[in-house]
Amino acid sequence: MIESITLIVITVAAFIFLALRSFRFVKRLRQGRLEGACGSCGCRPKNPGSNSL
Amino acid sequence: MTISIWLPLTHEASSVVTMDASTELVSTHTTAPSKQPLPIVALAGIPNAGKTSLFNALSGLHYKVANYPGVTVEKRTTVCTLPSVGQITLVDLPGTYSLYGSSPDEILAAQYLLGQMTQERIPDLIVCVVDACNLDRNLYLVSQLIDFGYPVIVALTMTDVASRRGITVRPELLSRALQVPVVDISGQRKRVLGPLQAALQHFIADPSTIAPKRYGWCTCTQLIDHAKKLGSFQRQSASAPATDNDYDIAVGIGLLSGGVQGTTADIDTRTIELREQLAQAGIDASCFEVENRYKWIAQIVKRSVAFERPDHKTRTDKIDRIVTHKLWGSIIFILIMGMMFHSIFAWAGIPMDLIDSGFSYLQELIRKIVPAGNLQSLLADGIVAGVGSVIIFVPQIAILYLFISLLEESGYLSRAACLLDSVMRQIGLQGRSFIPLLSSFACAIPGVMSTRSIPSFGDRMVTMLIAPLMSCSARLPVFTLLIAAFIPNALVFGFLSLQGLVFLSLYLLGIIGATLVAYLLKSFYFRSEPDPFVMEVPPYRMPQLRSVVYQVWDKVFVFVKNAGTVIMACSILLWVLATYPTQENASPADAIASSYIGQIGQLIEPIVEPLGYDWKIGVGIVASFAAREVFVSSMALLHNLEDANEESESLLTAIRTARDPETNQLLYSLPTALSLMVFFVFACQCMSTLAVVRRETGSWNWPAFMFVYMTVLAYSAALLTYQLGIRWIT
Repeated sequence: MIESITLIVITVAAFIFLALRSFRFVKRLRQGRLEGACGSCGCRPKNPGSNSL
Repeated sequence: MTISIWLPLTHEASSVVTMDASTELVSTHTTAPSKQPLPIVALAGIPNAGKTSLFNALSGLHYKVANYPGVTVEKRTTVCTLPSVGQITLVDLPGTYSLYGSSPDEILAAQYLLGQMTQERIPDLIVCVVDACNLDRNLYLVSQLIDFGYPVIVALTMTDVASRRGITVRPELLSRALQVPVVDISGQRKRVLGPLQAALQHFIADPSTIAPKRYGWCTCTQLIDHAKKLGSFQRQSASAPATDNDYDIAVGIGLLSGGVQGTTADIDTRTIELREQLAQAGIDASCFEVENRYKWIAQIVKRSVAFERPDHKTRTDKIDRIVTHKLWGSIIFILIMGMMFHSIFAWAGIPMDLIDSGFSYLQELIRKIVPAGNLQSLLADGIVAGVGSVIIFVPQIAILYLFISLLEESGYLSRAACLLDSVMRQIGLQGRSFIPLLSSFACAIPGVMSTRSIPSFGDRMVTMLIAPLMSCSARLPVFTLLIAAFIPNALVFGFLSLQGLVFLSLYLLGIIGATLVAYLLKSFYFRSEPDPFVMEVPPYRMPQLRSVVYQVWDKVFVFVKNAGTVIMACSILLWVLATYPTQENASPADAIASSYIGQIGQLIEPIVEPLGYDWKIGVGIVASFAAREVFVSSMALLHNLEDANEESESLLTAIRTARDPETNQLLYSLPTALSLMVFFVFACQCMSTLAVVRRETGSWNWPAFMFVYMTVLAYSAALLTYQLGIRWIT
């Protein structure tokens, strides 16, 4: 029973993650923000954070 | 230590503001909306002057910088807080030599600076980044900005490099000659940004104190009169609000010289009339501005720069004599490329084996801890096998990016572009196309975007359409897996890895394919002579360890993050599809064949069978549209599930020894592997690339064309490879 629930939770979580990622891709496409959209090459600039100075 | 900044407060006199160089520099980024419009500071300058380095230093961001022109092709905006200055909007612009740009990136910068972008406020202050080694070329833009009435601060970079060449720029004299503030920002960030911030603090409060004399270069009153009339006419035609007369003159000069386009046919007619009038007076309007600005700049340079050794040969000159030599340069280029691909295989072996052993140990551990069942299978055969099969390629990714960042930082890329200009011309392109294509070896997206630095529309389109044929880093895991599985680990000539050579030949295949496509496109559609190739060749610089390590770390981090998120999620879903519906008392091979994924695979199989693929490869290809690495994880997952009763083995062994359950023949052969590699070289499986081509071309037609031609090319080439392979390779 616990095993089945764990499997369902993991699968649903993976599905939701991929779905949200797809929505975000479409949103970026509409906004024209595509640098780093592939997510695998690291060409996206780092999010603003602490200054390196 | 105290640093001086020269700040001319009037036309005649300069004053000196001093500040302590040890001032703490803390800049924080914020996106919090502000009620009052923030002052806008724009960074302008010629390509490769150091604008993005300054932008990163002021804002704390990490946009890509490299030692070649055309890295930045977009306008970037951030809100940052500078100590003692407060919040400002900082804008980084693509490099441009003048306000009359010809390539899309230059036009974008010029449009922004000229206030031609609707919804964009014009900047309150412009920091013009000027390379001290090439003052003449850099000051052209400065003089134009002064004419348009912008408050300009000149930020001098590379004065240290200039000094080594015997060029001493005196900021105080340059400031006096130009009548604008000049700040030396060369050297260590911490030391030099203080003076710039002091200048920003001083002038943001009241930019009008920067009021240099405009049109100092123009002594022809007739031209000024005509330009004033024309500029005023253009403004009235556009119903624009009244500006100062000097601004009208700047616009008029642009119209007369051909740098600015008229907005109506009336203006064009008027421009032609006035040009003819000037011609009758012996003034050639088309070249008057360029000639006289450069004469004026030469005088400024003479007054503010000391050339100690005019004939001195620099280290860059000495290296270039060999590196750009027709024969030696080509040999060096081939050796560098060969070494890069050889190293990817030769150096990565041991760390890859270690990672592989680590994930195998983890699988065994899960099998010991988690009771046998579906959860154990999901964790061991799904998640760990899927993610591990991709993580194993981290060492190779790191080596690839190490080479790319070393080439970018050193300044070699511009030389390579010059060397390849003659080769590119054979296919109707120019050397400028080389850098976007080389960027595409890392990722096609920045490659496609960097085509903006190509002025010719036809050349730009062709470069964009062939950029995805350059094998990007996402293809690397697929190539490596198949090469390691099917190509013997032998040495050629006693020192070159055979696997490395095959790897190099895959990259060459992409280049050859791209060459053929470019030739066809240039011959039948984008027919035009390539533009003359002019490119800024920067001095060589020793790559900075910190920057190289950061770039490699960044790419590796993103790769690992991708494996831990997208690849893991895909592996979970693939496992579910490969496990259900469950079959009682069926062998693992039969169970997977009758699962959802097996059913989908069998639908695909007739399409991929002529290429030598079974249904599992077919599923892997379809799944790889999510991310190319998913092909590797899906193969690992499917083979792990199929061999569930056997002892854990690596993906390489599983692929090498996989047998057809019916015939017991080996499932995959060398022709299959070659065909698959060829398919991945040519196939367009990246949605993001198609989307970025859509954005750059403004139409879905070109991405559709790209997808269709690449898919047809991939299928045909893979079919040919397999059919020839099974006949010729035993």
